[in-house]
Amino acid sequence: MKKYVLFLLILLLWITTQPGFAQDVRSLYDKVRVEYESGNFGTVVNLCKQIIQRCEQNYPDAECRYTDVMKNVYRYKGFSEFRIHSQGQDMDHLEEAINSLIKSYELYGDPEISFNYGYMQSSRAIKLKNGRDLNGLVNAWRGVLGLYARDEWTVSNDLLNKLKIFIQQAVEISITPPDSALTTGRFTSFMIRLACDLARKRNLAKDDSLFFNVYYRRAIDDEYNLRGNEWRARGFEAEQLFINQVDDSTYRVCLGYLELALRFAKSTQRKAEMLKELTKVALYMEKYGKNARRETELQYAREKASQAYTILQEHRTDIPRDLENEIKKVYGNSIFRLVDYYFSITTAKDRMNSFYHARRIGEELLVPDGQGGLKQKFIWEGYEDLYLKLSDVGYELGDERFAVDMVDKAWKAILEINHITIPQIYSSVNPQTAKELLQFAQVYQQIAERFGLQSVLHWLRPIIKTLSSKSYLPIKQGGM
Amino acid sequence: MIHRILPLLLFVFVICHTTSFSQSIIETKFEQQMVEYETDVVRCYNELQKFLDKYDRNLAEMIAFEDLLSIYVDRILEIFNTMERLAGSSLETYRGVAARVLIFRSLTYLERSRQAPENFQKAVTDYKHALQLYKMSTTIPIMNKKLPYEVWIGRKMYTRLADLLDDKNKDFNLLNSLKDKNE
Repeated sequence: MKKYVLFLLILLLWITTQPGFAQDVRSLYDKVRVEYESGNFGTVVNLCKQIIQRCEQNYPDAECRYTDVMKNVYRYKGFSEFRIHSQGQDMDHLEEAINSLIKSYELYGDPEISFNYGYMQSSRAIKLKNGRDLNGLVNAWRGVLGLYARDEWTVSNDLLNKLKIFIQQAVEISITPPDSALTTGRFTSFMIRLACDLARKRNLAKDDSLFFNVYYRRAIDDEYNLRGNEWRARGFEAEQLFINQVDDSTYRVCLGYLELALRFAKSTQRKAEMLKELTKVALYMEKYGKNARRETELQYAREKASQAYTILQEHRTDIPRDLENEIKKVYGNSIFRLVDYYFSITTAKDRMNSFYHARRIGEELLVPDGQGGLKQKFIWEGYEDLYLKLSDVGYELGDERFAVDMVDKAWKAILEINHITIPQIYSSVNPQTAKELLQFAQVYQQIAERFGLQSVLHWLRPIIKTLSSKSYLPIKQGGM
Repeated sequence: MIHRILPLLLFVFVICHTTSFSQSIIETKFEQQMVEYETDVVRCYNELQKFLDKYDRNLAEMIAFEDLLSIYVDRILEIFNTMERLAGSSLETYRGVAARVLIFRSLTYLERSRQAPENFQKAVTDYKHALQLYKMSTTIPIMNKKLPYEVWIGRKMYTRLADLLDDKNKDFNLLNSLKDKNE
């Protein structure tokens, strides 16, 4: 019996020493405010819970009936729980914070609170990778409109900052989860347009104007495809980082973002653009990457470029001229580099096989020229080099017809690029051009010699002689 | 005598005019805001239409659009009610805006009435509310009035709410809901 009495006494003593015991709501509420100001968020939550508990009793204090008190109790509790969540990233506290603020909003429709719990709901959706949860955006927007109305339909600095936060969350949700987002992105795109329109109702500083213009553009580009535009923007940023620091990690990130931009692209133009960028990045990696798997990167580049070219052929009217030229350039370049790769890796063992491989790759860009030979499908910046490389391949394979056809086309191409005719070689050719032409003429000579084309040699020898003499830069005489 | 009263009269005159002037500024501001919000309601409604053919109607985005449109309509009704309290009887312009946005919200609720049966009741409530706003009016009913803007759905243009309602509510559920009540 004594034991029970002692236990009860201890229990009573413990209860009476607990914070809040026998304290009225008013004094607890005063403490809450002080503790919140001091940043003791754990204590604030504890005290708020005590207030709520006391108010649920049969005979609550008068303060429990005052909306102003109770909305603030829930507000302090919510914000404190959010602070605790921010420190430890504990999702339970976030959940509690949202519920507390919703309760506060229900008691008194403060738009500030609506914005805040909307923000927290969006944060939760992003963290849990649940892109379908758009309630946060809706509630935050309710808050934004409320704040806008409260400020007599003017956009204050505070509202402007809130709009920026809102936009960033909307963008993040549109790509949540990162690999395969759960919505079409139309709603988030629409929300960003609304937010930007609202922000533009006031005079914006230069940086703010840039921010809202960029996001508005991002929301309306490519048929209002915010998600695709965001991946594109991130892809370009990652590409810049990759160019500054070429390694496997930056390369993978860049490819990942650009692939996502391609996957979510809506217009043919965007698809072609992303394929072109992927080709460029792969070619860059092949050239400058330390541990690049050359064949893999080149094959990847060739595949992407080929897809871009197919789009170009099927939807030529949708593709602007500069993009068309770039696609042709990267496609031609990827084929040239792959031909060069197979041509250069030949070993004595599988020599012929590699040459045949190189030729087959090169033939991807060749079509009949209508005169029994072959020509490239399109003219691109550097197309003469591919002809020259293919003539080398033909030489090694011993295919006279192919080698001569290619070297002849290479020779004509280099003359055309330099806007020069054969008679002009003898009269007005500068050393730089002469040097460039000489390289082509020498390959031509080599092929002609191998296949015994005497008439070609007869025509070529004086040209080579002239080019050789003109390709040396005259030594400047010093002192005038 | 007149010299003494004149400043007082002048003061009263200025006060009266200042009050009515500030009142008219507020009214103009309210009207401007209602019109702006209505534009957003129509934008929102148009955006929602893009989902109807291609996607599942229970899509989170459709529900979000529904909620968003509702926020705007609530804001407009709030201004409308304020104006009604201030002016005694609301002006034709305000009433028109309020009624139109209620019809738009009703149409929005109808889009998902099969998937969410409670939406139909909401649609009926808004529809009735819109009609009630014109109950005592002698002007053309809101449904048959020419809209101050065009509403494009796909390739079809609408200039009257009645046409839009007929197309969207082919089985005349909304009209029948009124009839049932009367019978």
